[in-house]
Amino acid sequence: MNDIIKVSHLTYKYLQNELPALDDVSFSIPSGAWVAIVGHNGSGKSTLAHSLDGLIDFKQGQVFIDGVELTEANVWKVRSKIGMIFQNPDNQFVGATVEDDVAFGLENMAVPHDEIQARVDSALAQVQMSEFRHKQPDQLSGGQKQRVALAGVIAMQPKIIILDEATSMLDPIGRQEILGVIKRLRRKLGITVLSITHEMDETTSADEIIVLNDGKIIESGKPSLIYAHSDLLLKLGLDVPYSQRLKEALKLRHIQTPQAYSDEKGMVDWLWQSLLKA
Amino acid sequence: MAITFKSVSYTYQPNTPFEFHALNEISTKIEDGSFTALIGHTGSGKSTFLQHLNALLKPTSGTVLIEDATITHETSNKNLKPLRKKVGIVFQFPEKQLFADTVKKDIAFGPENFGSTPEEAGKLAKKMIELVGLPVSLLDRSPFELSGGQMRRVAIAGVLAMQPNVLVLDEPTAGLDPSGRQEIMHLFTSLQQSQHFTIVLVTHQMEDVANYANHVIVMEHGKIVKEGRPREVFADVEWLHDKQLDVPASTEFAFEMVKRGFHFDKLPLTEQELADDIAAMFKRRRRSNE
Repeated sequence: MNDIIKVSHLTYKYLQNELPALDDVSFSIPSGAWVAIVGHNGSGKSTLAHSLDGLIDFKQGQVFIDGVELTEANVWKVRSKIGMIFQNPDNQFVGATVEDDVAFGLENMAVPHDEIQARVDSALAQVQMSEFRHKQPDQLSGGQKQRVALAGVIAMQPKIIILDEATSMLDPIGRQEILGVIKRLRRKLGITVLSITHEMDETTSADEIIVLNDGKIIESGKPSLIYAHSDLLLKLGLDVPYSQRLKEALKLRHIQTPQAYSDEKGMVDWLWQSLLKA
Repeated sequence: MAITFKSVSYTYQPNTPFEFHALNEISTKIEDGSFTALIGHTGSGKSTFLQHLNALLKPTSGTVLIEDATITHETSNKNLKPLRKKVGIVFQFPEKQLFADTVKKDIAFGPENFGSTPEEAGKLAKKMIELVGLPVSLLDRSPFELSGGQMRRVAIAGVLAMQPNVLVLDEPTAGLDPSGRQEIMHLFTSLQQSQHFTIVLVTHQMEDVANYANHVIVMEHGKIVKEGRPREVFADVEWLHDKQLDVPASTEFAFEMVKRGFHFDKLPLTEQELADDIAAMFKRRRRSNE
């Protein structure tokens, strides 16, 4: 399995005397995977994302993207492999219209006009925003703006998409739209997705979850494994999936519940087995 | 302080090609001391409704009664200032509205504009920063050096410094992490108890509606399509699903159980209620096995 992202012993301090924002972080992500990084505000999640994209000049540790070590000399080359979506939909809309916005990155790369046209068309189709191509940003909802941001990223044909709390300012429908698009993109284009979030619902489709606290990785594994440690997640100020919260509430009422994590459907099945089955 | 809407309609840019009917014949009453939750999709008219609560917008037709002041299409802007002091609105992402070079000046800005002396306003700033749970030592710092959660509290303190009777909150926890969300909601409920506020909350978090509100208004296409206590509104899960609105996670879970043949006298709204109901089912099962 080839690792498209590899981080080894990454440490970063914003101020010399402060505690490190990242403290000896190492992990790797296989090509095509969806990895969610969770942690409360200030846990180091965004610092980590910014280091991968060369937005932060770290002094200790190494980052490899698609087999190449990130250095000052090749930061632009590495960056062209990564597309980032940030939290605030209004802060990343630069074009006057939807199609201008999607074309912005390509124009900067001096891509020929015909090809820009083709790539913009295809990117807008991927995020289902083709009919909005002539709209202005103030005519769009937050979810639609984030989809345009995603189209701008897709048009650059990156290998990796990093979502830095990209849904946290959206309403529930906007959030579903974005997650739906991401799932489809992964299936169709095999893009590697790194999502940084504090919404546990958004981690259920991930292949792996990395839990960060005070700049350190304190746990990583499949969602079912991470969710089963709900006491740890709650202690870190994170949410746990609803089924797990219910299980904790039942334990307090002296009801024996299954050890392993199960989703809501699994919990209803278990209740049916224990209570209704003849 | 009660606020009553009588057949309120509001049209943006009337008699132009851009005419848009944001509110259609809205009638409702926000009772004194109540905790009202306003739910509905983006574009359903929630924000337009909010702006009528302190006459930032005046109805195109119909009347809004804010305590004993009547607001209609014809009300002049001249006498609205005292009303705006009584109804404080915390807009979405209020930290974006911070502007002063110290926290103290930012919080004191409102009261000073309403005639407080700088000394009085300064004292008020100190009181309010304590009320929102921040250390007094932050008063002389720049608000822009603070964390996102702290900035939001400073912005809220700025609204509280006007000493309103009604607090209107437009998605006050959006963008915060789970513990930040909880802290802010606790802050509002404790304020409601200690200061006897009337609260109007716009939210997409149905857990918060179930846990805190005693009155829910559901809006769609500029109309109120359902209204009542949370238990009444959330009783019709299918209707809400149909409108693509969420219900509290516990109600959703119980609804799934009902589909599998379980029975609830009334659908639970919170985790505690659901866990109690399930515990009672286990007890009954044990008894019938014995």
